[in-house]
Amino acid sequence: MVGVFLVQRGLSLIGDGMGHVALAGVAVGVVTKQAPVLTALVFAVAAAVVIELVRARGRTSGDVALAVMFYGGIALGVVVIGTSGGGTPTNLDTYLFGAISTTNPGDVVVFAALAVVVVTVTWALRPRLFAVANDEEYARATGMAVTALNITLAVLTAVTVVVAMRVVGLLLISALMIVPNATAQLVAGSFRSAIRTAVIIGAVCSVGGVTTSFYANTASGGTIVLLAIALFLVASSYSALRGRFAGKRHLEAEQHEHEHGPDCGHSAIEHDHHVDYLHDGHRHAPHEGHYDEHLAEPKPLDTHDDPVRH
Amino acid sequence: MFVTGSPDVQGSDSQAIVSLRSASFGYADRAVVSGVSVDIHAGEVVAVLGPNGSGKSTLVKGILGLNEHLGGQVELFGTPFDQFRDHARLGYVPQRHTLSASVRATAAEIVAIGRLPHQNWLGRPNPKDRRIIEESLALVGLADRANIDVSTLSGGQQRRVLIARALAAQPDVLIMDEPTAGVDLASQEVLSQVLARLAGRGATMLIVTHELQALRGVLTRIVELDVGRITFDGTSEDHDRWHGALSAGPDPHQGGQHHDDETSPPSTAAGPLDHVSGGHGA
Repeated sequence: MVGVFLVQRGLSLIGDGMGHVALAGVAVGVVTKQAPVLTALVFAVAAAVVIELVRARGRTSGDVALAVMFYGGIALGVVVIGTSGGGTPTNLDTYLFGAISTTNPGDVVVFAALAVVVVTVTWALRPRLFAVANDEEYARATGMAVTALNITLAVLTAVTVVVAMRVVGLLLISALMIVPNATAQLVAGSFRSAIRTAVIIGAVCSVGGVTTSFYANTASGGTIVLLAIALFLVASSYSALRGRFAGKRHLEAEQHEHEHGPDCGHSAIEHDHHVDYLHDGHRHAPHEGHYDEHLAEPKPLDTHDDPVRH
Repeated sequence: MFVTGSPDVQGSDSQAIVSLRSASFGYADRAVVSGVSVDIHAGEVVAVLGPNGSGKSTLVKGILGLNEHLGGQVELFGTPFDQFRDHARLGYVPQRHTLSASVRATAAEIVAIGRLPHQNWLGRPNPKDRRIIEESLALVGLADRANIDVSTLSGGQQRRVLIARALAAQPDVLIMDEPTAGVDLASQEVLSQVLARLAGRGATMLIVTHELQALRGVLTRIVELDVGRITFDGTSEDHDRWHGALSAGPDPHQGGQHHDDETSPPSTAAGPLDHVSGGHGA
């Protein structure tokens, strides 16, 4: 749900970077004997705010600054965890790659609460997040608090990363945010349906992946992501095939410069929720960037086809 | 207001929609446009002309608050610039060549963004909003494509989606950055029809453009910039004459026509009289 706005803003990999920083938080938590989830949350949210502030300043070095921060995060995590002595590396593995069986009931309550917060805030802000991600300059011109919205989105991403890290793992969390959205873009026709499809795909993959990993005794995170990628491959081959068949099946009208519209001079015939324009005895229906030839016979009464220049 | 079709203009007619007094705009303390004085009143259709880099876009973005206001006085609807909050009254049509290629979005979904300033944080489009979205798309001739993914539309159609988005905000002035640039000739023709239709409804427009020809008959006034300053401000007839004078030198037939331009006299800027002193000639 959060992921779609990241895809829209061209920030697909930012969740990955936040995962790196969250790792430092986990390490600090393990070493200081605090709850790793809370320290990870603090680190990831702080990273989110810094990322957006760097982006808002519009520095060309912003990209480098982010890279330094992300790798600094993972390096710090590895070094700090090393100081804690034996036994911990396996613990770190569960955060990196996810292991749902290691969660305890207390964790589940915290995750559920955080998840509810993320879903509620994202739902409430959806129209504005869409507006900012679609055209930041226009949003700013209409007086929207663009920077505040971007920081909110980054914080939502950070919280999502932390919520999902025990299940999917910090290295794979970004995939679960992005891949279902990429799949949804292939099959959906509007933003609204894309977001719905992505949420459904994400949920199906998560539940399916966890179930599979339980019975097949595989890592939960990897299983979930592989399932998501499998769905993506199915969807992309489906849409490629559909594109090819649709190209053969439907009849395109001849190319013309003229654009049909309510006052173009060609008589408009309304049927089946769309409008055909009568053009030299042919019925032209707008389809994407061109016109389709519709074959239904026009009623003779309508044929006052004006010789419009085109 | 164009969309709902109410004929009355908000506020008094005498009050300027945009009023600049030796205003400067730019980025990070570097002024790109400076010393600009211009008033735009309700009902005017003003073209902002000028070569690349002359500061046209910087000027309109400055009015929209998208860059730094570095000096001079700026008033919008009689309100000083730094106190102006009612941004929805300025309908911005940005210069963009592509519309959101990364995710699916229908034309109606893009236009719905224009309604956001009129909705509260938890609000969703109500029947009135939906009607305005529909009417906005109809005004730009895209009513039959409301539910089509915008990335499949042509460049000119995408530009009209952006105009519809601005219209949906029910602004008191439309500010467009190069609405006809980079689209093919047929789309340009449709675009100028759309602009003429809006002008016919009494819309106030400020249009940054290169293609004067496409907008002829719609414009009531031309402001030309060069190197960040206004070099011409007058009607399109005056503009023709001024350019004629620049390229051909003093025109003997022009002697008696100097008083034609009472309606919008060139202020401090150079105007049609300049060739007399030889300042811009040859």
